[in-house]
Amino acid sequence: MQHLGIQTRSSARRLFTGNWGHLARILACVAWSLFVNLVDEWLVRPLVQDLAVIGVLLVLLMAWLWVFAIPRPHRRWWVVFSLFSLCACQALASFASLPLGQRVLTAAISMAILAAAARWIGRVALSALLGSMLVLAAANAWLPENLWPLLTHFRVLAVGTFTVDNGNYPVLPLDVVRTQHGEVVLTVTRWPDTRFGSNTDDYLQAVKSGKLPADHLVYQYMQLAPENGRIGARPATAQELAEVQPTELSGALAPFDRSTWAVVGGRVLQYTVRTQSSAGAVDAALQPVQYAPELAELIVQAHQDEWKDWSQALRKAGVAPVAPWRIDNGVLSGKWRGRTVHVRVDAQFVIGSGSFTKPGAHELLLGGSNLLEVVSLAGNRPHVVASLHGSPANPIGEGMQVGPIGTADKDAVFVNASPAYILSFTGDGHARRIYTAPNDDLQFLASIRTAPGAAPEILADDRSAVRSSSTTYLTSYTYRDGQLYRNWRVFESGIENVRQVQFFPGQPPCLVAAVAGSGAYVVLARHFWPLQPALVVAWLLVLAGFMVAGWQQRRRLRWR
Amino acid sequence: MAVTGVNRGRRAWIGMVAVISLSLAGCTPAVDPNATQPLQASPVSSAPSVWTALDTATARAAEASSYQVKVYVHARHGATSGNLSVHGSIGADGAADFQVQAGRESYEVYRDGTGGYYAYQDTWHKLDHPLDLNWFAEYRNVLNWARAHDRRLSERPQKFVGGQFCRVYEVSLPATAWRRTDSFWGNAGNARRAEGDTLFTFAVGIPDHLLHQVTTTQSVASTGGATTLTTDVIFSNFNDVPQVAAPSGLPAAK
Repeated sequence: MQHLGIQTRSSARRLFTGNWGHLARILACVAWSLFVNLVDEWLVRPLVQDLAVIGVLLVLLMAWLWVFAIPRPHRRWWVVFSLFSLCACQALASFASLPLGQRVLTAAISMAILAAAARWIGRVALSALLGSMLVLAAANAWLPENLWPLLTHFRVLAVGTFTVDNGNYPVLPLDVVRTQHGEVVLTVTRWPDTRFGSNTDDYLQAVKSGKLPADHLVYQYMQLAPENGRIGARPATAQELAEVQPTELSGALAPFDRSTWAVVGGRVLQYTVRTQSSAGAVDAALQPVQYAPELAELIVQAHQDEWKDWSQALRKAGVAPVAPWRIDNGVLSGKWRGRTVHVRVDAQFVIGSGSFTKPGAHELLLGGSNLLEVVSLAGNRPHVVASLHGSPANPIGEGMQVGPIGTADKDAVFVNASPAYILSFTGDGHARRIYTAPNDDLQFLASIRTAPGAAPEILADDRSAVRSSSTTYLTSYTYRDGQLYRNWRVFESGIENVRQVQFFPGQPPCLVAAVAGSGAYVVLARHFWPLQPALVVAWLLVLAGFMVAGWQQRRRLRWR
Repeated sequence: MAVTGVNRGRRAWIGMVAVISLSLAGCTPAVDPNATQPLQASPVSSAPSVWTALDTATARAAEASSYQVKVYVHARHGATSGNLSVHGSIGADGAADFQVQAGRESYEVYRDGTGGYYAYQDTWHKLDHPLDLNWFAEYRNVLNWARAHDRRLSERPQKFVGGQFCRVYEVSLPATAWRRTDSFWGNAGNARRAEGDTLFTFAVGIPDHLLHQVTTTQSVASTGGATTLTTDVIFSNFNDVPQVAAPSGLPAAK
């Protein structure tokens, strides 16, 4: 990073004397416009978003030091060009969601206005402006600006957007499935989609033949899988779909809506139907005293109907649903090490497997209505070894993560209630709440062990401790003695549905995550390069460079 | 002269930096204490007097000739949420009008002396059975059941809801305890234990001794996973809604 400081300092001096190569000058300008944007993304915003007023004062100090370090004759040029770079990057990023034609048009107009202003106010050379625009556009095309904060701690292996309706899917659903060729991630996108081999004619034909209703949003299932070392998206096969729980990917909103499925051309398609007639919905809505039992019953009924329709659709597509564990009428059944297992339980659904009561134990975690149960699979007679009822005021709800917490091979349960908390089961089957979040906004995403025997990184969306805003940011914690200690924070909000997936055998697992509200997904791999400290050092070098240049200039003036 | 010029230039720069820094969204210093304080419930000092107060509040509300109601229901399942909202008024003239948003569909419901009607996509239909809006009597039945079964009452911090400062009491009930026998979905009776206990809160106005809010929280389990169901029913403007006008377009259905 040291060369950057020297480069910018010399370009500062030479840009006006004109005895340096034209190309080198433009390259220096381009490097500077990227540099100020990185300073904005990785230093300025974190300070402001985490430290509130203190952060704003620190940023003011940074700006003050920088502005007054620039030699006075060149100050206007530097400030105007830096502001131009920041504005241009924001403008290019904000047009990214528009269709191509509009994007080019709006980008061209806004760039022309910004460039004219920069030329007029700061007398910046057009070549420098043009070079800066091109490199910022290229950087935005490589990775949208709103995801740049992730780069401090992750390599972005893939990024993409699926077309989903925000009402159905506020967050893109992601589910990891194990196939013969390794692990893949399943998700959804609108159907028909010409990118994935279906067009409007297919839709009209399906409506005409009565397979699909008219005027409904229809979704198809997609899979993310490695292809020649890159991660690509293609329609999921029925075999892969047989492995998932339909509710994991369903965008329906019980109690009044639920999902159902149709098979068109061998493809399983999902759409939403109402659970109630208009009169029925009105009747349910105007009986507030009966909400608790009646709406609960509608939800249970909707999920049962979904499962029935899903099995039927899969059979039509030529496969049968594969559920390794299933609970029917209070009996958990499945196969473990070739042996059929039946256990009587109170729970209704399977959350995950792991070692909950003892390190290395083979256990299943089950959930019920405000209930958790642990079933031990080892031994002659598998049985329930622990069970826990939640408090009625803060029930054990829908959002639960299972993962390691200490260095031992033992898993904890991360319960995303409000506030969220962490449960650990003792060897004799008692549950202990070992951590409770200090605010209602903290939500656990995943717990990931980066190296065997090391303490895992607990990923969570958490808010700033000093600001009154409830905006949350992707944060990594380590648990130690009843407290969470922050490792790092990426100032990226809306990262949800974080899943660990082994895309490339032999390499550390990747993370797949969805960006809330956009249908976007990212595939991330953790890196350990100290990019933020390096940027601070580069910033200090730049400051020093400006000061030396100013000092030299003053000395020359005095000697003349 | 040169010195003042420099000062003026400097001031301009300082002003510019200050203006830019104001555009940074971070000038909010402290954590909102309401957001971090968990709702602490404490045992009530005298349960019989609270039961009486709750009974009086529902009885008085049932006698009210008119009031407004707002309902917010959320069923959270993972990232998705199924919602229901109702906004409406019951007038002193016996007419009632409600805007209902159930899932992705919107309805308007109207009731007068001739019966109940609902509009879906601007077309009015007559309901084939009368609309029973006798909610406070039903709440009274729920509370009587809870009192008869000696359910434990707790008190939450006071709050401002429905236009009044209210005392808030909570009590947990099994979901099926007060189910009416003429339930509209009587045929769907299965998976009862999926519903678990429901935590009710009742807010009683301090100055007017009327029932202003009822909330419920429960966790519903099914093979598809758990759903957290929360409902919030708010009553306000008791005896302050003189009449409810018939919606335009309704006469065609009558």
